[in-house]
Amino acid sequence: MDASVHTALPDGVEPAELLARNVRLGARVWAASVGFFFVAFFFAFLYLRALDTNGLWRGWPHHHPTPSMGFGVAILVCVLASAAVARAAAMLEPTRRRVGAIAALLLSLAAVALQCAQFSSLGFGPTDAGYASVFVGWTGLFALFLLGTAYWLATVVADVSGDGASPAFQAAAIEAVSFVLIVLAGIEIAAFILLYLVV
Amino acid sequence: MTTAASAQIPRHGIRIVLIWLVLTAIAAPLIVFVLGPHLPPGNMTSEAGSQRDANVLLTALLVPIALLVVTFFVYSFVVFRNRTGGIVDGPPLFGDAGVQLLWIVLTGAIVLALAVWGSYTLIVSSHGAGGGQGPSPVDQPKGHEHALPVQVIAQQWEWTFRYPTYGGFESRDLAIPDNTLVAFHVTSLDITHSFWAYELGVKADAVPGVDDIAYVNARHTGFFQIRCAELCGLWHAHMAKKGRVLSLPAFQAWIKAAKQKNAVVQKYLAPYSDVYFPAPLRRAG
Amino acid sequence: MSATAIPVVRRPVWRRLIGFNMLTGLVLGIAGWFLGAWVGGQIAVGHDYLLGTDQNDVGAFVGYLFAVIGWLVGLGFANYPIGRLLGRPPTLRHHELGGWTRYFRLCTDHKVVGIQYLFGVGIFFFIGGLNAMLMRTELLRPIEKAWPSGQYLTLVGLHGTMMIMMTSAFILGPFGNYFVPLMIGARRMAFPRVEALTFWLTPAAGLILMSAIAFGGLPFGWTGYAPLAVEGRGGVDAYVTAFILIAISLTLVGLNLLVTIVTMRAPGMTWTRLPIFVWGVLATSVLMALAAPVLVATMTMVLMDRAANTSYFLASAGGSPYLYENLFWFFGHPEVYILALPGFGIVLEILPVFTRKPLWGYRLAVAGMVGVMLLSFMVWQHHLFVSGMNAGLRPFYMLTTELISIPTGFIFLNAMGTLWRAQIRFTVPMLFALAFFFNFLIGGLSGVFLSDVPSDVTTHGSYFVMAHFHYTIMGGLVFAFFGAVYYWLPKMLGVVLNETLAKIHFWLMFVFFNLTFMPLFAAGFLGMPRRVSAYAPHLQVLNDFVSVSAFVLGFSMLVFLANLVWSLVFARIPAAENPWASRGLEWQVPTPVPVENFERIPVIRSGPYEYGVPNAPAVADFTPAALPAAGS
Repeated sequence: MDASVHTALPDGVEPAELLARNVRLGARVWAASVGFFFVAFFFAFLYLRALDTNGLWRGWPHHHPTPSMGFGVAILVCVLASAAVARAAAMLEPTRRRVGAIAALLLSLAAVALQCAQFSSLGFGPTDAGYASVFVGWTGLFALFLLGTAYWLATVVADVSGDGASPAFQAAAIEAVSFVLIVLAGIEIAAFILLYLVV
Repeated sequence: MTTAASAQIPRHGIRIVLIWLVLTAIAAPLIVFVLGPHLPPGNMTSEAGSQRDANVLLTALLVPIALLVVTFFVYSFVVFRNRTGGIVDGPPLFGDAGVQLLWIVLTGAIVLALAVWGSYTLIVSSHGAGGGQGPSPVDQPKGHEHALPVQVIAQQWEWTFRYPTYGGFESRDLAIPDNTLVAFHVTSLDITHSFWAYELGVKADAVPGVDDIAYVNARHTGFFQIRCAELCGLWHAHMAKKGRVLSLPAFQAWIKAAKQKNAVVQKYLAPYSDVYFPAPLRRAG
Repeated sequence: MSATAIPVVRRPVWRRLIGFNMLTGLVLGIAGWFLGAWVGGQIAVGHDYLLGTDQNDVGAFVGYLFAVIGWLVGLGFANYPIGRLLGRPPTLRHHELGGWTRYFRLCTDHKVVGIQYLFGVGIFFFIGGLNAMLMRTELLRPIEKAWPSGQYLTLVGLHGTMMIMMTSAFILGPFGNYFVPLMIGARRMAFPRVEALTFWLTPAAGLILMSAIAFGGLPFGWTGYAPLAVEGRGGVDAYVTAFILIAISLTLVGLNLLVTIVTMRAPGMTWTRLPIFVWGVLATSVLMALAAPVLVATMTMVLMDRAANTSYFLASAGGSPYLYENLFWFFGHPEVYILALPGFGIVLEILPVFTRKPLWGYRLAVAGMVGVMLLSFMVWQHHLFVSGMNAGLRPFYMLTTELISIPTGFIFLNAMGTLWRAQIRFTVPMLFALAFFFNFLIGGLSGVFLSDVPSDVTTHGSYFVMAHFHYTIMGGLVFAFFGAVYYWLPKMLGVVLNETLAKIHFWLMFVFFNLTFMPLFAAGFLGMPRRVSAYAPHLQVLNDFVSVSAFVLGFSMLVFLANLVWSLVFARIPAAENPWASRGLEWQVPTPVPVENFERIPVIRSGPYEYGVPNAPAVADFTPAALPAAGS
């Protein structure tokens, strides 16, 4: 533990090393919370599909509607690329973090924009039985979480650009946000497999 | 001081155990022989009987456990209280591996025995104990293929009953024959209810889109209470009815009369089916 | 402290009312509700499914969303996120200084948040209790006389939901926030702004839940089973929104406390020296961080079923009510232990102080809490034994449910070992802690009936269940809460509570709690279903007895309130810094506790329970001369 921990600091902020540890661990707990949030949708998909109540999911001719694969792949690519770029930025030397963080931010926002575009030309609505419900809920809330993470990335960009935060905290913050993005990417892979590939 | 105190340890322990044994010796027979026969839900059906047996056995097992803990606590309050009025430190005991191990082994043994016994009674001796088992029951009593099916249809806020072996007619009254295995097929038209026939020892949730099956075999004739055990909105408390267990000839006569009485509504009914899907439910204005 | 170096500007009261505070939050919240209801109404116009209904759920939800945003902006929660985007350096100083007005605005001092929680959650606890009194009034008679059944059900729903929402943070909110940093030797929580947010979401959730009264009430108790929730009237929108808010708050409370305990322990505060209360908080916060998000997701699905006309839970449209029951209880059972575990922590924290002995079997207690935490995720279908789902899995859930009694039993062994050959002082906190064990014993053992499937077929959905969980939650958690109140209030508020009134409160509450809920086991056994406004006439004597006992139980709470007001406002006898002669680190700091708790981060020298140990070192070194090397 750093010696500075032992005395009060004038601006009421804990030492940078402690803040860095907090944000790293906080991101991991948050990622676990987000994971459990989407477990509910994961479960809903498998459960409703297995029950197939009133024959509205699997049974012929009530086969569930299909969203456009092109948008699905594009969103998946954007999310995966955003996570990868953020992770790379966390490993880069401090001077080049900014470019990586901005790129990751733009990719996340692109994924959200693509999701909105897909919704506007979906061809079915939330009222079209179980699959449609899970699809709209899962992808919509995923986009919302991605938007929130994009805000976090934006603060990282602001940190890296300005001189408000210490280098140790900057490094920890971008590492933390990249961890959350990787978990979100994992959720997006699961979503893609279930919502687009499983019939 | 330490030697004097350690000499007292076995005495405290033995005293507590003796007090507990006396209390248990008084309580256990009272529970089994005096309270036991009155424990719910009675003995009208074999399923109700098995539930009552479970309740008696659990009470007889758990009351002594409670007595042990309470005896220990009360004994401690009396014997180990601070008599000086000042602040005096007790002996620095941090734990005892042997006692802890013994406790873990004992509680573990009780818990495993309970789980094994519970599973045995559920699966082998009581065949589901009158609980709803869903559309494909796993704990089926002997001769279940020949059970008399009775469909229980819940809706806000009324029970109706259909008898598929007698043309699927629908009745607002429930009667079942005694000494006959009956399979209740519980379903709902709108939201989740729960079919609770108290004296029969039957409880099965009525879930829309689900055919929830519960078996029951009545031992003697009589009345039983029907309640809704899952909150279902405004008149939940009033989804109550009386059902009847009849002798077989009386049941046949009742069927004939009920069929005739309800014949006028037959043509308005949906054809008999395991589950019903009315138009999607939306808010009631 | 350096805190005093910053000048505090004294301004007139009327000037202090303007700015980011509760008043502004209320004004913007109400304005937001009207704006949101209008915007939502405009969004929904023209959609088919609104035809034939007289309510617009889109408008209701957007109204609540804007109201919450307005409330938070008015409190000043938007300032920091916007400042961060502009690259401003973070500071907490202006959120921690100030006089009494700190209690009515965003304050990042964990002690202020703790007291805000104590009073905020306390107010809702008393509202929930009042609902219970009104329910018992109705149950004096076997048919509806006092309230029509719709209003009765709304009372049931508000009582259950209010109590579950508020008691989830009943101990972690006030005492977790106030004492965890003090007990582990930290200056504050890991995320102080998040900490403030978790509190300020709570009154928003409580007020929104109460708005259900104005929009048609709740027909479904606290569980909100889904097809009923989808068809329910506008009050359901309030229930859904309030539950989402409180679940977000709980997730963040868990995250914050978890990170604080892991990263911010003082040097020398090893895992084996951690006070047992902090272990209880740690186990609870894991449950909160993992289970509460599932509730957010579940409630979001209900929201979508209501507002966007999806069909997660509508069987005829391809959904399933079972989905709701599974998801709800996957949250709901860990939630039960979110309520129980802090209580374990409190009573085991109080016992060593008043027995003057070390906590007997510390590691076993930790193992018990962690064991309960892990097992609690594997038992949820025991709520659904007669639902008709997965009948083949019932023996498995029977086993896991009964297994939970092993780690719970550890806590009893800890208590018995600690009482063994002790020097027991029967102070008020000790009385509450000991009553906890009696009540929880009954609650726990009655749970065995419910875990055994044949017995559960009788008791499921009856008053037996209701008596069981009131024994664990009210008899367990609420008794532990009052134990904590009497134990820690001298440190939190700096005044001594009147002991005679406290003892009257205890004995009334203990006796009449048992007289209220013990007969309800019998009512359940005799066939009385839960949540009914009317019951079989032969149960009237039993119910009247329970109602009268419940009124006295309610009266005992008024004794507590009178004591609190008397001691805090009129008597104001200053409390000693360590009135119980406790070894806990939180008792070694001055009263009132300074803003950053410790002038220097202390170095912990010995465990908190080493009573009677010859030559035990002082619990901590508060003026470490030589700073320990990095990494210690």
